[in-house]
Amino acid sequence: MTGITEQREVVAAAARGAQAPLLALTGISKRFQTARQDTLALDDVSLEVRRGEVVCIVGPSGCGKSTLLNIAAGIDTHFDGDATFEGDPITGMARERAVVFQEPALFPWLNVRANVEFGLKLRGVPKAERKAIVDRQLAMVNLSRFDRAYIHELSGGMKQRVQLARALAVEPHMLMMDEPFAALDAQTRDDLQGELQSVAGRIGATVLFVTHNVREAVILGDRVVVMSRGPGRIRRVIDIPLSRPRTPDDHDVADFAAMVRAELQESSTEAEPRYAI
Amino acid sequence: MRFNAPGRETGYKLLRILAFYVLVIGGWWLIANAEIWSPFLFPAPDSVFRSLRTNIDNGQIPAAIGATLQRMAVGYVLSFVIGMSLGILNASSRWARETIGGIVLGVQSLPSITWLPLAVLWFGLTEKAIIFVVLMGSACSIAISAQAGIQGIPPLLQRAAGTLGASRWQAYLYVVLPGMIPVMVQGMKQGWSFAWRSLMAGELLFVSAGLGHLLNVGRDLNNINMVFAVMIVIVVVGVLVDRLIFGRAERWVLERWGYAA
Repeated sequence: MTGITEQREVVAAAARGAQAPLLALTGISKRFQTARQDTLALDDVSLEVRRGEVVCIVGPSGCGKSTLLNIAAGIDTHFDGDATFEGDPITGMARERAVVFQEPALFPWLNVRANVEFGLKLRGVPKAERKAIVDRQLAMVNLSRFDRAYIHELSGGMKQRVQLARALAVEPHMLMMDEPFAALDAQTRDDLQGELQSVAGRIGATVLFVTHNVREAVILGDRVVVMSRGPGRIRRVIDIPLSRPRTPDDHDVADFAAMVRAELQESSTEAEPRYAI
Repeated sequence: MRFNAPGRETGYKLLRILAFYVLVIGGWWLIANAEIWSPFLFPAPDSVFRSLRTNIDNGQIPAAIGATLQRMAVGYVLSFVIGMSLGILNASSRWARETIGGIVLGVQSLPSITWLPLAVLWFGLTEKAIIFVVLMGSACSIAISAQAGIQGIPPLLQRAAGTLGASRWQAYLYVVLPGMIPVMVQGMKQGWSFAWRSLMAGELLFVSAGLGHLLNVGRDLNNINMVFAVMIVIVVVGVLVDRLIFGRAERWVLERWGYAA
C-alpha cells in the first residue's frame, strides 16, 4: 500500500472519531408478508455512513440491498429498528436524501432543463438562481447542449446523467443511488462511473450506492458492504483504500473485486437452499 | 424531434388532395346532370354551393353554428368538470371504483340520445335538456380516461418527486395531473365526438336553433340543396375542431412523450 493510502486512512480515522455518522441504520429488520409468503428481507442490519463517504452495497438479488436503500431514503417507512439521518429519525422522503433510480424516473412532459429544475421550483427558488444552478449541474454531467431536449430523445446514459443532475440540483446532504447504471451498456457504464467519481469527488458528496456489479462497487466505494440473502444480512464490510480516479482496468481494483467476489461466493454456498413455490 | 416536411413535399400533398376533391365534385356534377334521379332528391354541386352561399349570406348558417358551438361549449365544459372529478375519485378510491366506476361504465355504453326522453320530461323543450344530453354523452368517457390516465402513471415518478422534496399535494399537482395528459387527450377527443353526435341528434329531434335544427328546416321546406349544404357545414365544423384542437394537442403529446396514447 502506498503512503497516500495510509494518509487517507489516518484522515478517515480522525473523521470517524470526530463526527457522528450522517446516516445511521441500527438493527433494521424488514418483513414482506403476503397471503402465501412471509419473507424476512432484512434481518437485524446495521450500517453507518459518514459525511463525504461513498458506501457501496453489493449482494445477490433478493438480499434486500434495494430495500435497505429505500428505508434510508424514506421511501419505505414500515420496518423495525432505528433509522436516523443527521440525528433525526427518518420518517419519509426528503430532498436531503435525493435518489437516482435504476429506471430513468424522469418526467416526460418536461424537457431536460425543466426536469433538473423540478426540485428547485418546488422550493420556490428564484428564477435567476434556478437557471444558474441548472446550468452548473448540466455542465457537470456534460449535457449543456441538450437542455431543451425531451426525455424520449435521450439515450439511456444521458437519461441517467439527467437524473444525477436533477438529484444534485436540490443540494442533497446525501445521494442515494439504486443500481443507476445496471441497465446501461458496458462502455456507457464505464464512462458514467468515471463521471460519478469526479463529480462526487469535486463536491465531496456522501453517497449510498447499491449495485450487483462487484467491480463497480470497488471502483466507486470507499467501503463495500457485502450482503447475503435469505434472510438479508451484512456479511462483511470491506474498506477500499485505493487512490482515485479508479478505472476498471486497475490491478488493485481487480484484486479487491476478487476479494469481494470470493466473499459473495462463500455466502451463496452457505445459504440454505431456497425453493420457489 | 420535429419532422418538418420540406415545402415542396407539402405543395405536392396539397395538390394531390385538391385533385381528389376536383374529381369527386366533378363526378358528382356528372351524375347529377345525367338526371338519373330528380334534382329534388339528388342536387348538383353548384346548386348546393349556391344554397350554402345564400344561407351564409343571410346569416342562417353562422347563427346556427354559433348556437351549436355554444351548446357544445357549455355541455363539454360541464362534462369535463364532472368527468374529471369522477375520474380522480375513481382513481384514488377503490370503493368508488367498485361502485361509481361500475355505473360510469354502464352509462358509457348507453347511446346518449336515449337520455332525450328523460331530459324532455325533466327539463321540457329547453336548452337545459339538450345540454343534459350532451353532458351524458361525453362525461363518462372523460371520466374513464381520467381514471385510466392517472392509474397509468408509473408510481416511480411520484416517488422521484417525493425524493426531490415534493409533498403529496405537490406530487399530485406536478406529477399526476401532467402525467395523465396523453390518455386524457384521447378521452377528451372521444368525449367530444360523442357529445357532437348527441348534440346533432338532439337538435334534429326537438330544439330550435343550431345546425341540427337547420337541417330539419331544410327537410320541412323540401329544400334538398339546403340539407346538403348544412351537412357539409356539419362535417367541416367537426373536422376543423378535430384538427385545430385535438390534432394540436396530439402533436404536443407526441413531441414530449415521443408517442401518442
